Amino acid sequence: MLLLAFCIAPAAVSAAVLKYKSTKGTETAITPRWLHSGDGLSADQMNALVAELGGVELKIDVSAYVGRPVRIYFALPLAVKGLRGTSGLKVEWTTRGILMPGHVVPGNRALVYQGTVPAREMGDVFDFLLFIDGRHFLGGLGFDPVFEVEVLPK
Amino acid sequence: MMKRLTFLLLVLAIVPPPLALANLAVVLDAPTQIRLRIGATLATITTTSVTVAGGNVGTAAIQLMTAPAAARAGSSCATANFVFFNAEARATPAASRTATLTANSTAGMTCTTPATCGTDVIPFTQINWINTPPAAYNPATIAAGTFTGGAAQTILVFQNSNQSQDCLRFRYLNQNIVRQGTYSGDVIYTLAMP
Repeated sequence: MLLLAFCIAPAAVSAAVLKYKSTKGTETAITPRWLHSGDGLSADQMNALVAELGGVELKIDVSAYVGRPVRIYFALPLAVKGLRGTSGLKVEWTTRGILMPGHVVPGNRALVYQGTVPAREMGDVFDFLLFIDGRHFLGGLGFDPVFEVEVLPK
Repeated sequence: MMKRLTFLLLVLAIVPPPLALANLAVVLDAPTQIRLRIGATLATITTTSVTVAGGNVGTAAIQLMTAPAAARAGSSCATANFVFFNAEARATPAASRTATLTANSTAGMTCTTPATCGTDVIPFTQINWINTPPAAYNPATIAAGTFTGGAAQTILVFQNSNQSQDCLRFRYLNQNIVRQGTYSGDVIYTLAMP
């Protein structure tokens, strides 16, 4: 008897960074607000800030992937300018079109699209909420998200 | 023999420095916020009081002062006659600024019944306080103390962003013999974070 055994390993999928542009143009300055008020706040509540950035249209350059099945992720770099350490920030967003809503913390990513790339550019309008722990906030916090793409096997 | 002199003109291209990639957005400092509650909420001034029986005047027997329930309403100060203190100061970056709570007790308690005590004044140095916070406010942040009669006595110092909550009980030290009557005065607390 001949026994043939073999394993099928999934091909490694590597992520590439996509260029994108914002219709806001230049860097937008946001003043955050304190999230909680009143007596009896915990230390977490005392230091909780939220910064709102709404109606941001982002256009992602996916010209190299038209017609190909992909996953697109929204990612935050591990090191965020103006933030002490890697904790103290959570970004949430909703969208108004083709991309999915989600949330992410520094060093992580969230899926915003899975499917075939329909055109050279994919755009959506984002409404962001940046939840910041004031104990980690050093000032001038840079919000610099990254879009990553992974090509899926057909 | 001829010698040529060659001039070589080297023109260097000026390479512009790479443009710094701007962030999508930058989050600025949060607005500074300070809040102070002494006793009752909003604009109500809390009055603490004590009546000293004639035979006890000036005996140095400490007299506990009473306070209305409104002085601790909505707080975790569960024991009657305690006064809720809430001082909070917020700013960014964290621990970059110092908030100070001071008390102005220069006025003293003046006689409001001139027929019996004239224009006598009992100084606020005759009033002290203890701090026995409930579990929710442990550890205590305002130390027990006595009014100095000064214009800016430091009661509490802390860094942003923090909230200090305490339950204070005021006491009349009763160390002087004073004339019969009613004495009244205000201590003004100020929270500042320059």
